[in-house]
Amino acid sequence: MPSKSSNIDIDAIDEVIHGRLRLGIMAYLSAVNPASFPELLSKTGTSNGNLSTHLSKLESAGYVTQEKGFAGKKPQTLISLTETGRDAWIRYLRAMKELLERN
Amino acid sequence: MSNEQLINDLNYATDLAKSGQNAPLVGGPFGLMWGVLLSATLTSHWAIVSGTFNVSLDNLWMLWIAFAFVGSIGSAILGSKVKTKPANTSTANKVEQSIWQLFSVMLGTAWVGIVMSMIFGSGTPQLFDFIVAMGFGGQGLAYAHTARMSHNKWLIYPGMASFVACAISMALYGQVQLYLFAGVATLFTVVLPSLKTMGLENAK
Repeated sequence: MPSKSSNIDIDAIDEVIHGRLRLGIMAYLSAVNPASFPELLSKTGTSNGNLSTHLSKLESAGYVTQEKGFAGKKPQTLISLTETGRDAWIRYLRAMKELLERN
Repeated sequence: MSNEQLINDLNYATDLAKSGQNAPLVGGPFGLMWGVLLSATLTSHWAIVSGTFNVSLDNLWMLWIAFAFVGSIGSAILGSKVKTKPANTSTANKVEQSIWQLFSVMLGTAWVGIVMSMIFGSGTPQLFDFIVAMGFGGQGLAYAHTARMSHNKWLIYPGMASFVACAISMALYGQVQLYLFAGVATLFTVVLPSLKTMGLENAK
């Protein structure tokens, strides 16, 4: 079992957010809301399929919404951070801060 | 999960959040288009009123209607392009878009009030001189507010320049030179800042 001084108790952390890519998505959407799918692809540097998978997970939790529409004549998917998602993001950051301070 | 991995993930998230927060302003092309158009229109207004252009004063209506018409079409075209730009919805861009839209509403309502005063009251065309001063004052407010609400602190300088131009415009109220001054001041308070905004956007 890892010692408390070197590792962090992940139970206190929102598992939906805590994953490198989902963390990145939430962080970007906290500053740019909504963001287009290609914009998130470019910022996160991940693949199309991977981003879709993680966005679906965040969407299932009610943290983001995906809205399909058009930008001019081009189809565009806009991803928005919901109020629930913003609250969860703030709670997540608070929990991380507390855990890091405890360690 | 190790501390090292966690810190690594948090750094990644921080970088993404910062890239969103520090996203460049995307409204430069709007400012450039309106600035060039406004400067040309104000200077033409001065040329007509001062007699430099030998045309009837009745053409002033046509001049300003053409200004509004060309500007509206230009805004519609640029708007569709700006909508697709990355970080168009960052907080700084939202603040900038919102304040310039409200600025347009302010000038529009003042314009309607002056026209009503001229039709139903005792208003004279000289009342339009107020709009010039209001325009510079509103610009100053828009720049200064965007500077305060975003990382674009340099916008405070065109903001202050706009406030100075507002004061000078009021001092020139009723004088023909007001429009020549406004045409030149627009180059410095709208066109140059817009070019800088576009330069910063391209640099990112």
